[in-house]
Amino acid sequence: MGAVRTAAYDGIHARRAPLLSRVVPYVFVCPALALLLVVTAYPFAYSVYLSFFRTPSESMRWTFTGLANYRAVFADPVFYRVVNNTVVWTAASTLADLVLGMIAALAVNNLRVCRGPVRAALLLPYVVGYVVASYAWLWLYQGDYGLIDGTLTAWHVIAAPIPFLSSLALALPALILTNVWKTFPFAMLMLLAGLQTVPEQLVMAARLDRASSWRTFWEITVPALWPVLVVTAMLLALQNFHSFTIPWIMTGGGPLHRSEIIANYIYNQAFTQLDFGLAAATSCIISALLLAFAVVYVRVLGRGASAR
Amino acid sequence: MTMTRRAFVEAAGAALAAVGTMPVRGWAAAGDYAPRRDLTGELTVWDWSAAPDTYGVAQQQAFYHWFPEQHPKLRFRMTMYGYTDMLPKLEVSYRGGGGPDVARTAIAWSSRFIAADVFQPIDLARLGLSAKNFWPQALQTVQKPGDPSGTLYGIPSNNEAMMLVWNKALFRAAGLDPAKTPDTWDDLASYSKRIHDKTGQAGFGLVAKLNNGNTPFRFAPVMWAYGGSIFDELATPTTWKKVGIDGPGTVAALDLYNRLFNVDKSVEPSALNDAQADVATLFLGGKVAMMIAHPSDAAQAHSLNPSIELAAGLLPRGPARRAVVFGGSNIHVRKGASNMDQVDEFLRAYESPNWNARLAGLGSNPANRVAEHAPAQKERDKLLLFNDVTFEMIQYGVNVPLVAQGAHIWNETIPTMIQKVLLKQTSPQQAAAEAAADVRQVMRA
Amino acid sequence: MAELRLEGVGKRYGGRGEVVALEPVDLAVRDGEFITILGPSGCGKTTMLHVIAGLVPPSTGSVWLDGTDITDLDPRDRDMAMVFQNYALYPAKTVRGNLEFPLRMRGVPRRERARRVEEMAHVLGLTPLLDRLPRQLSGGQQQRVALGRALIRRPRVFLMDEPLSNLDAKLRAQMRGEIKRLHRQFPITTIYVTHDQAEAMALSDRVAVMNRGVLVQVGPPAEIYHRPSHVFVAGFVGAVPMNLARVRLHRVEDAVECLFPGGQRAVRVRLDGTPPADAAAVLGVRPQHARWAARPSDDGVPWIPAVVEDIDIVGEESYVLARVEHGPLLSVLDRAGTAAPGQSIAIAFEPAAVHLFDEATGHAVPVERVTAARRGDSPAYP
Repeated sequence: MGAVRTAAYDGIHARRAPLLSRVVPYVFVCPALALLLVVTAYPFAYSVYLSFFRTPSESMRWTFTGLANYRAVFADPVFYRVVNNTVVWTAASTLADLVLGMIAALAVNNLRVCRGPVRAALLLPYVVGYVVASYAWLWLYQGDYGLIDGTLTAWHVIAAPIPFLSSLALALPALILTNVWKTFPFAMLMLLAGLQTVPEQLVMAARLDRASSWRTFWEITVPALWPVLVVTAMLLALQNFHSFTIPWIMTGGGPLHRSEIIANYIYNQAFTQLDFGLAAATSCIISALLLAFAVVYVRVLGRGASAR
Repeated sequence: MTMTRRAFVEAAGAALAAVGTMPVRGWAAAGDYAPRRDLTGELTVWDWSAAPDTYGVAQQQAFYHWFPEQHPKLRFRMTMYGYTDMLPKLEVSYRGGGGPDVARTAIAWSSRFIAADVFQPIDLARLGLSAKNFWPQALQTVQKPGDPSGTLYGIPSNNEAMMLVWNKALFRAAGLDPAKTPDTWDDLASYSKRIHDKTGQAGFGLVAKLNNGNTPFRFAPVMWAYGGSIFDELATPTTWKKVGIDGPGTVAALDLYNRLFNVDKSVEPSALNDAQADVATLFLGGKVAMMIAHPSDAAQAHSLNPSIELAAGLLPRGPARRAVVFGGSNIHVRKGASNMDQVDEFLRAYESPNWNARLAGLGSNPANRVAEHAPAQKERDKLLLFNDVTFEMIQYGVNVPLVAQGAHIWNETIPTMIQKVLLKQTSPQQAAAEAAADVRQVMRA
Repeated sequence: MAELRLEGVGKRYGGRGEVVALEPVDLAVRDGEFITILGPSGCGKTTMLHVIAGLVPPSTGSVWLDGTDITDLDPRDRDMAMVFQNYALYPAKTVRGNLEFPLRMRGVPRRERARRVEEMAHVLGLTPLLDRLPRQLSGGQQQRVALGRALIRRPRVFLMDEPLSNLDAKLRAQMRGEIKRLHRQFPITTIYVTHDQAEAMALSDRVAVMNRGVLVQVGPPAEIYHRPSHVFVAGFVGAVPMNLARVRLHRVEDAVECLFPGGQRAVRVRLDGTPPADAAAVLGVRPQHARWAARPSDDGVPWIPAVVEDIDIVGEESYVLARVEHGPLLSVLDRAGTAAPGQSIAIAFEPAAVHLFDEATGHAVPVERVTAARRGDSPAYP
């Protein structure tokens, strides 16, 4: 249906528009396109180029090595650990962001009083900088003097402090919690805006049709919000995938790479080991994975969104 | 070895007043550097800031204001970076065939660029200096490993060593003599356990964060003290070829870490994700009794919480020796720089005793040992806490791995090895063996 | 069987209830009755509908359904269906999904649901559209789906909020017939809200006229049309507005003469009771109940001199708009169709069909409708 309408529209447009007005839009797009090429396409192409070179630390010269950098990445057991961490980090953060964001948005949307202040309070983590949030949570998690362990031991929930950030099993979940705290307000904001566009009469109609609040939510609100949800999930997934600061400051990727995610890994390759070729190769591998994910995502969910 | 709060504040006030009122020109005139005022041409310099050491920053500002003033015909361009910015900036600019004529880098970065052959040899005699002006370890850091000619590819700008800093109140509370340093690392572990048992606070601040340079800087002294080494850095001459990290000394040091963290549990439980800044924060709050620290850490701790009763001493020794990482910075000249007259003039100024003392800030000491007796050093002494201790400590300095792959070994291999042991993933022997395999692989690549 | 009764139902908004949406209203709706709430936008009719549906709690009063107080009952449990002005179709569901939604929510088994959806689609002519999404339907089709979704579960009360206002004129007339037919087929108690008086007249058993949150008059369409109890009803009801002119009442013998501000005699009526001397009132005459001639004839009624200003053509009929000197602009049904702007004419009212309203309160003043009457010219119901 959408395609048919677009084609019909284009047909009319093409018949009526003189040459000049067909060219003008491209002229207007040119500066932006040129800027995009310079700041995005060029560095990207350069990274791909760089990934085929050895950039040894003992020399300033580059030597072409073909796929050696790629082989080195795939041979590194830490790489698999980091990819695994990144997938868990991204999926768990995004899902939790959406669930928490939805709950918060519904709560705020249904508030009759103090809506503004409550919304502002919930937005606070989003406004706080990543570095500030990381240090604050670092101390919250601190084993001996942190608020979390202190409270849990004081209430006898746990017998002894749990060193969350030093634990092989708990470090990543603990960082994910921090990340969700930092990012869920974005989901709330988007969904709240979406909720406000859901016609009130739809909800009224559903109530009169005897739908429970739960069914109304799933059958009316969620489908109406679906396009917003798809876009929000995509934006959040990308943002979470690219996270760097929280693991970098709070654990440095430790213990033993259990909380290291891909941005930290690539940064270390480039600026700690100073192996730019290797870092470029890893970036290319990750870009390919991301591209595959994006294609599948848009195919599966994007189509659903446009059908609605 | 200790200083009361009042004495510190008075000294600091007097010294700052002196710096504020003293005409900069007068200092130089009273000193040792006579500027060639007819110098023309160009000079580009990159330096990194001494922040958060406010005294050091003030000296850098004064110097970089003063130097071009002495050379009105010289086109002088200076860029000041943050500590962490400098390495990637230099790396990228040198790879691109550019870079400044003169750059100051931390010791840990020097070997990489020296190996990559981007620096020009420096002739000390032409600057009116000789090898006697510098610590021998310092000169090693600007040489190519195993180069019999001993050519210098840079010149040390400042050098320092860390020391042990402790909280006297916590020592007293644990029934320890607040004026007495733990003599050996074994003693330090006993002290730590005793403090933890008696006061509930961490006895020693352990730094074991991944991907963090603070971690190896504090582990290596223990390793060396027990006779361990990464390569053969304890032997003379050092070849940097033989990998020795899987030796018994490393295992003993790992055992000590394991004892502190897992057996006695006398250190802070967040050690695995603590950098030095985190330990310093705990120390400030009276939650950690002892830490390995720079003099500037001590000065900062004192200014942030003057109620802490600070004391400092040498790092403990082990069965083999007393050791500390030999720290500091070097100044390098880009290979192919054609303006050597201008470069020499800058180096002469920077190494001149008064400026060399002042530019070391409170976090380091002058590399040119003549500066230890310069008038400026006398002013500086009033501001420095425990400077005598760090001076005494420098002689025990051992160099970081002076190989191109040093950064990986230092920041990745060593912290990973420590974390494996502290998390009980492997035995100390196994961890050391895996570290050795990692070092060999990095060196092969 | 569903009898709906409102007792003193009122609604106020704002922190201290300073915004009155609905003044306390009493209204009884009989089982199977089709009642229309008619009024201009913002008069409170939608609020009343929402209160009945339970979507908005009333500030005062109570709502009764078949003798049970349902004021606090959740809308889900009232068994009322509602058609919204913009249809409120579920955009992500097909026509079938929309139609079966209320059945699904009631736990009607799948097979039964399918049967009833087919049946309702057949009744409404939606069978070929069952698998389309709402946005793929025309306005009229969407309207039918909305009706179907409301009717499919045979609610006890059927509420419609301006269901035809989004349609074009032709479709509106067609759907009006459809709604009438459906109501005959499914005689469910229906409350229909509209601002279109023609819709109200055509569809309803009774009409309730509202203005500014007040229920002004309730009655069958003919009564509303012929015997407006309030000047507002008189002005609001009727395809062509009623002439409403300020007059002075002047007692003459046993009757009362209505005089325009310019002193012209408008009409002579007899009132129940005695009006105060020289009282002011509003005179109302529908254009159909007035006639004009090139010059006055001597037939016992007053002829009012006026000058034609314009001719207003409404469909097949045309109306002469003529100005009385120092007085009102009168609209007169032009039966002859020969008037021209600028022409001086004379206008006469049908005394049996004039209305008088109290100028202050707007309430109708009872008029005895026999005064020098010309017999046999009773206007047809429009």
